[in-house]
Amino acid sequence: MSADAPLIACAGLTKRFGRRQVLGPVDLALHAGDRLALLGPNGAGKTTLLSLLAGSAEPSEGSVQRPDLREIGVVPQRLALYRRLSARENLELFARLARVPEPEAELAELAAAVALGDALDRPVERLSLGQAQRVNVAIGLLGRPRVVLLDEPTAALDPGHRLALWSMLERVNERGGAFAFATQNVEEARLAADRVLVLVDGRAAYAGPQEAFWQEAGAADAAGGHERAFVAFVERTRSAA
Amino acid sequence: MSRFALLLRKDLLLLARSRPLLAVLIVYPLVLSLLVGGLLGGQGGRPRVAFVNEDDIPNVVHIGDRSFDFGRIVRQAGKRVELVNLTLPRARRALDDGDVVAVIIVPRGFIAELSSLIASPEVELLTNRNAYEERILRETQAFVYTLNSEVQTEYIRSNSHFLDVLVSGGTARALGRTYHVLGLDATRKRIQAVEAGLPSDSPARAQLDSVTAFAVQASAALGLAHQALAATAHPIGLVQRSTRGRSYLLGSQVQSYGLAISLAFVTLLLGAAVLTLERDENVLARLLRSGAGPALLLAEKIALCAIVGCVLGLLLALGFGVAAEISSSGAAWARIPLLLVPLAATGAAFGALGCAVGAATRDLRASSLVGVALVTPIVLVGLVPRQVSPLAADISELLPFAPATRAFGAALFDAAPLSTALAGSGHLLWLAAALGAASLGLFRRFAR
Repeated sequence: MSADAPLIACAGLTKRFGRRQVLGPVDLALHAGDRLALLGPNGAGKTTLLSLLAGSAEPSEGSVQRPDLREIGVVPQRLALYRRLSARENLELFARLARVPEPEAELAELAAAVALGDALDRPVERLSLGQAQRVNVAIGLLGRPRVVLLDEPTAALDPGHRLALWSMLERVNERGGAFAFATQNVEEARLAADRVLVLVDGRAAYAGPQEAFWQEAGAADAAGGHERAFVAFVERTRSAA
Repeated sequence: MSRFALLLRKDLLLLARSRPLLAVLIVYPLVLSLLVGGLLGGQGGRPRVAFVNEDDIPNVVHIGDRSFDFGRIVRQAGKRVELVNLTLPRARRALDDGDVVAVIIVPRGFIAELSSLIASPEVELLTNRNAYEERILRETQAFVYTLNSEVQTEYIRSNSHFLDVLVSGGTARALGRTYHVLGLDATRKRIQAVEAGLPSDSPARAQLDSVTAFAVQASAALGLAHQALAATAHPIGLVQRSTRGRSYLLGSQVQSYGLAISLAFVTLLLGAAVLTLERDENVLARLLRSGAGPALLLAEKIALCAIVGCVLGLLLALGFGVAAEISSSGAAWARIPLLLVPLAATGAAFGALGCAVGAATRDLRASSLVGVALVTPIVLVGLVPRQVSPLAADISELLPFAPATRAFGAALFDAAPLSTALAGSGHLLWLAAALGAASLGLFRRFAR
């Protein structure tokens, strides 16, 4: 793979459930250092797109060019943890299953990053949602993947832990990787991403640099800032369709 | 540690930490052992048998000049079975209704026929098909044997008395008349007295001596005949002693079915639950991404069911053993290690079926419901004897229940258990492989 080749890319990606098309066609490419926010109203197809990129689902049409699955870290929207195992046991289990090269060192690093303290040895079912979500994210980062795909990763996190999460993801960029995350939070997209892909009813309404998107959306003119501008953009897109 | 071992360790850890499930897995065999113990103990109880005395036989029966205690014989039989005096119609109804397990009929004219000494009177036994059938037949045979023996003893005693009277003299009654008999001993003494009064050179002395010698020889011979008569009546003496041997029929069935039913329910539902749990915990995609592919995941779940089946089955077998010891029917302790392979194979087969259910259903509640709905007819069809429905028996061979009961029965009770138990286990492992392949297909179709 050349230096400017995308780490992960898709072309004409489409997903249908029966006759109903829920996504596409979508073209996308993530390069080293990219931080992509997937924005869109509920049901826009953000989770479906992440699943197709991750290889968890098969597209109806189009193709995905991706690295080895072990180089893709996935953080699902809903917790993907064994509730009766401790946070540490969850991390250890998935690290050993994934044959992480230096599990002890990486577990120590991730344990420090999730900052659970004594709670690390507590069953997940006895952790707060925010604590559990940090473990959920940490497992997605096991094996130092080059591409990380996250579905609304900060939904249950307080501001302090949100910042800690973005710091963890910055390390992915520092290693020459890229990440993409789905979110409903416009401010978070502005903070953590440099590119956005806006999905409206399964179709890509915008894909490009963030600053350009907000200009196109008229955020500077909109009373109420970026959020109101985003809602107006979605409505305009639907009207035009 | 291999991925397989990591997953197995994780599932065992989750099982150990799931207190309600663990409690069920411990309490279930205990409760079942108590139930089976009750059944085994029940074998030692007295089944109800109707006694129809159509000849109105009194407690003491007189045949000719002799009498014997018929009431005592009936009371003796009543120690082993609960004899209920009924009329014939009521007894038949009770048998049809299952209130009694058999009817013993002493027909009208029984005593008259017995007294005639021309034909043997008959006692009739009615039974329906039940677990006690064999035992009741044995009890009735014992009853008739005792009756025969008692009558025979009375005749022998009477005939011995005649012999005694012939030797020693006395009174005897026969055919309604009383006879006074001098007896050989008295005859000899009288001859000797007469001989003493004769002159020493009397020729009659030699004749009287020969008569006296005959009386002595006859006395001795009749004395021997007395013993020979008693010996002929009882050529082989039988001394009954209580033993602690297992009661084969019901014991083997109850224990084999108990094991098979328990494992069927527990391992099928466990297989369904552990696979569905991965989806309920939302970790399925993460596991697959971590290199735990569908085949590995299913093989691990099936192995887990085999292990749980083994442990649960051994606990049950030990429980049954204790129950059998308590009920005095005796436990097959030495046979328990032979159960290991059939137990593991049964757990694997039902576990694989459970995995198929888990792969095809969406959540834990649905998989539990489908699991119960599936296991119940499997058990029921496995309980139908081949004589009743060959089709049901053929279907059972394609499901794990029938081979499991066969393998358990062989391991615990067959005289040569290895071949049958291993054949049954092989059958179960073949089913486990086939059902595992079906689970894999369903998993690939529905679970991802």
